[in-house]
Amino acid sequence: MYAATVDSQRLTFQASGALWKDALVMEDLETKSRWSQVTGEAILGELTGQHLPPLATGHMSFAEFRERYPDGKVLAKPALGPAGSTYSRYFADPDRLGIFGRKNDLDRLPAKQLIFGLGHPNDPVAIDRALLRRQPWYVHQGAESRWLIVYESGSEAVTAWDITDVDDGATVETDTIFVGTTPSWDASSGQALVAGQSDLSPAPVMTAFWFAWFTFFPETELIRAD
Amino acid sequence: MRVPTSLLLLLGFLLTAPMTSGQERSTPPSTDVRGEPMYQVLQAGDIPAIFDPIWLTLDEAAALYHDREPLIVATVDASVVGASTWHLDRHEIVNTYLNGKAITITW
Repeated sequence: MYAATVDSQRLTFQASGALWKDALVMEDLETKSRWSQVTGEAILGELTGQHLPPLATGHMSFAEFRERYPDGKVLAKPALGPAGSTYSRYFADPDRLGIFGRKNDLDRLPAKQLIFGLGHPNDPVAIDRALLRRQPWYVHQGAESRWLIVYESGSEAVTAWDITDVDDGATVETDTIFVGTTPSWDASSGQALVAGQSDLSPAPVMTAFWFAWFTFFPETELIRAD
Repeated sequence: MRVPTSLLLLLGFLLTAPMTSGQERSTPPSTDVRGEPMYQVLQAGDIPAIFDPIWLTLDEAAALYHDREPLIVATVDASVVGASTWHLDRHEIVNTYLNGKAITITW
C-alpha cells in the first residue's frame, strides 16, 4: 500500500504480469517502469531507484472493520459469493513455495509460518504470528523507531502503532494502551484518551509467509514465539 | 482461513497452470534484475487492476461482505477504507484517492 506520487507525478499501476522473488511486480502506466510490490521501489525502467512512500496498513475482518470504523468505506465488489480465497489450496500446502518451487532452506521458522513484517526496507523485523497469538501485543525497538503491534486473534486484526515518541513502559490491557498506569490511547483506533495528547500514528505492517519475507529481507530480525 | 500474504500474489498463473507438489514447471521468459530473474508469466494487464473504484458505506456493503471476510485497510489521516482480499485476489491493485491523496492499494 503506497502513496502513488513520485516527484509530483501521479502514477497509476497495473499488474505487470511479471514476478520477481515470487512476488507481484507492478507497472506504472505513465512510464512503464516496473515496481516491486513488496519494497515499493522501481526496479526496472525510467524510474528505477525511486521509492513509493508506504502507507499505514492494517488487516482485519469486515465485522471488525465495521466495529472500529463505522464511518469507513469498503470497496464495492460482486454480490456475496462463496467465502474464501482463490488461493486457499496454495496457502494450505506447506511444500509449495512460490511458483517455481523455491526451496525451503530456512531453519529459523517453517517456510509458510505467517509473520507480520515491519520497518522495511531499512530496519526490517518479522514478528511471528504465533507469538501474538500467545500475547496480544508486542513492543519492538528498531534502530530508529519503536512500534507497538496489537493483534486480536478472534478477528485476526493487526495494527502497528508508531510509539517512537512515547516513553518506555507502554502496555496494553482490554483494548487500552497504558503508559505506566495512565490509560493513554485506544489500542484499536490509536485515539488519545488524554486531553491534549496526540493520537497515535499507524505504521505500515505487512502480513507474509516467513520464506517470502526472508527472500526480500534476508537481514531481517525475527521475533519468534519461543 | 484468512488470506495470508501480499508477498505471493500474481498466482493467477498457478490457477491457469495448476501444479502439484514436486512437479517442475516450464520456465517462462525472464530478465535479470539485481541478480534475480524477473519472470514474465502473464501479459501486463491480464490481471485487471481497478482504476475507478466505488466505495460503499458499511450499510451499503453489508449485503456484499461476509462478516469474516478479510480486508486490507488503508488509512490516510482520519480517512479509512477497506478492500476484501478475496476480491483483490482477482485484481491485485486498486488505484484510488483517499482524503485527496493518490494511493495504490496492492495485494
